[in-house]
Amino acid sequence: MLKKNIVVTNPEGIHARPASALVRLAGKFESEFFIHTHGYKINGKSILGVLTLAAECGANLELETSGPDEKKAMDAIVELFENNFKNGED
Amino acid sequence: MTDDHKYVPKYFTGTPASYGLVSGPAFIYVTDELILNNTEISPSQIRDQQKQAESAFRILDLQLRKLLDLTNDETESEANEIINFQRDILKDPDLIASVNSFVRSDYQTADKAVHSAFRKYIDRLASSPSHYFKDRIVDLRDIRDRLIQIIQQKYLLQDVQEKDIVVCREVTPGDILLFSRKKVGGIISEQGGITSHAAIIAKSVGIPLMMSVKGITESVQSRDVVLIDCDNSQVILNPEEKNLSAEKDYKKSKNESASDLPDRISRPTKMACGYHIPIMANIELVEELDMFGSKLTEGIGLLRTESFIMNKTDNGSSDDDYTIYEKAIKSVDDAPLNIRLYDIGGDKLPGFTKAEPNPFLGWRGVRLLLDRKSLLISQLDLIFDAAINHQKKIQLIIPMVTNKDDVTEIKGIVHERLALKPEAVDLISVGIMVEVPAVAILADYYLEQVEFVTIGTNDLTQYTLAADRTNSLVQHYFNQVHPAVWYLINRTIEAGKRVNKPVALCGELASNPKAALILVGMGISSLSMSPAAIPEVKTLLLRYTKADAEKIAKEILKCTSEKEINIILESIN
Repeated sequence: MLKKNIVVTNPEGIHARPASALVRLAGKFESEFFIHTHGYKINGKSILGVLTLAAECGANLELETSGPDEKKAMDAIVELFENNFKNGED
Repeated sequence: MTDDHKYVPKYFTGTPASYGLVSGPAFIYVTDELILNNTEISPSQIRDQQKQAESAFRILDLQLRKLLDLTNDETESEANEIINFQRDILKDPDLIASVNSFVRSDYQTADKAVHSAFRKYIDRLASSPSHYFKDRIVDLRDIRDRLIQIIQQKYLLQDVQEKDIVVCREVTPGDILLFSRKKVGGIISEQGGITSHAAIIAKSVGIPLMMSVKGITESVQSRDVVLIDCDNSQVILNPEEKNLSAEKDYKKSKNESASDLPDRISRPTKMACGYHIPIMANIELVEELDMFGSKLTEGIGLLRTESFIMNKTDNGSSDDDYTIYEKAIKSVDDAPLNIRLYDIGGDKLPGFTKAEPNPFLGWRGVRLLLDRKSLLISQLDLIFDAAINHQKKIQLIIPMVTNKDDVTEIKGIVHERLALKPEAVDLISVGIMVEVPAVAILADYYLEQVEFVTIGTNDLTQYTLAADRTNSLVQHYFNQVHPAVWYLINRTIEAGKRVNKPVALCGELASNPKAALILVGMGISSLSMSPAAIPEVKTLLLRYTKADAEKIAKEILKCTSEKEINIILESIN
């Protein structure tokens, strides 16, 4: 299991479009993906879960991946956050 | 309600949208109020309810995917994002698991379980301080309610019985086919104008349909006896014995039942003098091809294609567009096949939320196709493939033409795509709809551009007479036999004769047998109408010679008022 803290930097926060991009990316990996914030844990492959984080710019999140491709999944997801969800499109 | 209610006849007026006289117990089909099922299901129903929910998710996803096909141009990227977001919600593994769990552990019906599953997310968003996230609640509710509506429609439909009279607020073409399969007796709708597509379908499947019946949904209760009388434009709640015996007489007199309709359609149309006038079919839905397919011996004068995109619902049809083109080709065999390119209005596009003040004077038909070229191109490619694979000649019709430049541009795109599929070049010809006065007036010039034209009288009438055909307040102004409409039709036919190019007609007007006779007299090349109207038109045409028809047509063209026209029409029998 891998864990990593990250700050949401894109100005609009995790709105619908970034949430779609994130869920679609996470869905490509076999590993489970969770997001923790304020003692709250959601499934990162569930768009409603991600949306209800209501994460705005500056929010602190803890990412967790767990499974056979957890490293690859974490790297890709972090990259998506760092690129402000711009390259997550299919 | 007291017992009195049961026995007092109550009369309603309406606009008949097909034919027939029929009575039966009312089946109320109103799904716009979401009242959740609070019944607890038994363990044996769990799997079934879960399946109902799964199927609702699938149907909604299919509807959204079809909308995406419509908006795959760059300019609509914002609308695409919304639809993609909605589709992601439908694939949400937690949401689906939650619905299943409410069914399994709490014994909830599928609709209730969907509602329960969304609640958690909606509550969380409601507690967010951000307006953006609070506003997403609307999107979630929208998806939720659409799922619930799909499920409840299915529940409702399980209860409809043969010979029931369906009472609803509004009716879609898909609904009519569904009810037709359930063998209902007739349909009464509170809303709708007579040329709506629902009416066309009702005629083609032979179901009595009365529209614009004000107040009916409030007055009728489930299983009340109602009678539809299309000839007299009325609906009677709790009909008297004399009304019901009229229905029996009607049934007796109708010696040809709906079941042999397909056979009557395929009879050849030779007039008394031996003159042959092709009577083709207007086809809107794939189900019509299944029903009448082998009987469309004289061809399809108008294959409407817009419903392939707009009406994809759970009506049992999983055919993709290519399969439908193939089915149409097989139906007509060697007879003509006219396919009209998507004729859609902007009001039906997602993301096009700025409702147009006058949609009929707005962004529709060829105008929309030229702004959404990828949609046009994908349609052309499929049609060309079908033509090549079956070595079948296909005539393409461009909808809602109002200027020559648009025709030139569409033809340019057709030629570009044909260049990529050269085997189709000899199989494809291009024509236009004549459905606005501008084109009828200058028909000579348009005929220089294309190989044939087809007159659409529904739109031609509404644009000539400035009467919105869906507005029940001005229905009496929407008169397809107005002298000005005849004048424009005749003008177009004459233009065709001068250059020896076919002028066909595919509007509702053709399904009026007397009008059909006059059109033949004017020299129309072929007529196309709802399959259900074909037998009656043929029956009348057989009794007259072409010369008779020409004589009547001449008289019609002398008329200056609707009154004079009606006198002539009444003299035809």
